[in-house]
Amino acid sequence: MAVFPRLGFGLGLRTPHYQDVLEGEPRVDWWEVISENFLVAGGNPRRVLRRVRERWPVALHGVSLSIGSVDPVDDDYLGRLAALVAEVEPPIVSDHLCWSALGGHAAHDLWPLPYTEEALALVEAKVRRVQDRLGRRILLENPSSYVTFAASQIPEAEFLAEVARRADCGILLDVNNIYVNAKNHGWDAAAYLAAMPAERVGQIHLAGHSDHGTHLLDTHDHPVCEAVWTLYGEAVARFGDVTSMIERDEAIPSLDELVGELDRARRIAGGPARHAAAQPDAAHG
Amino acid sequence: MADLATLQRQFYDRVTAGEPTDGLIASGDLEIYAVMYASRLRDALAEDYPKLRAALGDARFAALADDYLRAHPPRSFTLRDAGQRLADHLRAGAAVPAWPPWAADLAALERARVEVFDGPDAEPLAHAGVVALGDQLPELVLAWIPSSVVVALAWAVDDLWSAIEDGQPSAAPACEARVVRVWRRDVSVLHRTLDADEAELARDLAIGTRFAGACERLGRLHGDGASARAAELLLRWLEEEVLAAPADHTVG
Repeated sequence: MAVFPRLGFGLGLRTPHYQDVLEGEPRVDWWEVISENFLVAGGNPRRVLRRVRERWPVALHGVSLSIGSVDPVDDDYLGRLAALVAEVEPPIVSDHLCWSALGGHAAHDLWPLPYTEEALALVEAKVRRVQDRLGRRILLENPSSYVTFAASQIPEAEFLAEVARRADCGILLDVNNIYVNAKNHGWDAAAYLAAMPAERVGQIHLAGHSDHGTHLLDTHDHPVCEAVWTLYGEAVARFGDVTSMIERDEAIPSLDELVGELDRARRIAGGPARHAAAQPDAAHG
Repeated sequence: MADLATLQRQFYDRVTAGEPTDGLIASGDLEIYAVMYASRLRDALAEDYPKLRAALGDARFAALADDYLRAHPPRSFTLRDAGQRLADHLRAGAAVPAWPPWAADLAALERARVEVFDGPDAEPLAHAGVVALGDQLPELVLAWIPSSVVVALAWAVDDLWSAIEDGQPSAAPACEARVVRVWRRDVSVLHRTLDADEAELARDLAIGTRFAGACERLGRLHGDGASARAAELLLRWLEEEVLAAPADHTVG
């Protein structure tokens, strides 16, 4: 059975907060960084990462693995990621159930998959390849999306759960994305949660979105909305004190404001301020 | 039913190039992805080329970005590299009147600043390390730190860069060849126009040269004044923290 570390409550480490993080004592149990921003040779990004890592656990969250593309896994990217993993020793390594490259061209977006048996087999094989190279389990995040495919045969939640089972990986459950997709596609958010295998949910994302009238856009530029907090409450009731964090990528407020928002997650989850990461890590074996 | 490869090709062509699709989606709007694809890449270019954007204006820069991205769709996993070939693209299209002839040089200067921002870390050569050499100074190997790029310009775009940075009115740059060194000191990215003799030495320091060799080159340029000039340049470079500290300052 998969077991993932319980890290408590974290935030995404973002440039405007670097100084406050390094010089202060923010009430944050761990940080998540976008892996690609630190796959660089040196300079301030790597310096900040080293200093943050001295004080907190740092999880790596990628956006370029392109696990659902028919392109092969990018060995150069994977090698760089493996080197960063070796250096940072992150408790969690994650990316998205999506595709973002084709024919060697990068989209720099998280494009949705058609949920078919062919896609399922492809994702399973690529996750296994990545996990073999990294020597550990990864977590895949449910994406936000703005279309559904005529070819899809399997509900997204079932698809994600089956990928996790077949490939023996974890699930990063983005509660905001469940809400966004439920609104955009008329899905049942509660049924989505119910379809998740609890033992494979290793992390939860919270974020804000923007309402464009015809659809919700996963913009990470607003506080977490009430409906998503409610859904988060349902998620922790089902999955327990899963490692949770808030993502904010646009209209970034002060660190204090985000820490205050994170306190609400703590209250909802009812967990202690810091959970000992004493459980076995997510590595194979 | 289309296989996954065909489906992804249809999606990609629709989102990146507006190609029509037939029966691909059951619900939703692919245009949302098309808008996000274009805007994210434009934003990345604008972030990496702020002075070029300011000099061209938002509309012309957006047109340039679209033109560039059609010719060079990103191939790297990182957005940092999305604009990597913008200067080359502008040079290749120099005959096209849409872009001013100095735009390629300004792009090259701004790209160099991106490269050194998160380039390799290195310990700079310190004054004390040089003083300790004593009469071994001629054997000192001079080399730029790794996060240092020398850019040859045909236009004085460094002046344009500074004017925009300082919020001053920016006239079109003069057609004047210059050599600019871009480097990182601690976490700050800096650049400076090199003197003519520095520019000649810059090529030697790119691969590493002994101090004695640098003095010889300066001797051909300055005659009897070479020693004083060599000392002046060495002190300037030490102050700028742009010389790499070798493990052993002498060549065995």
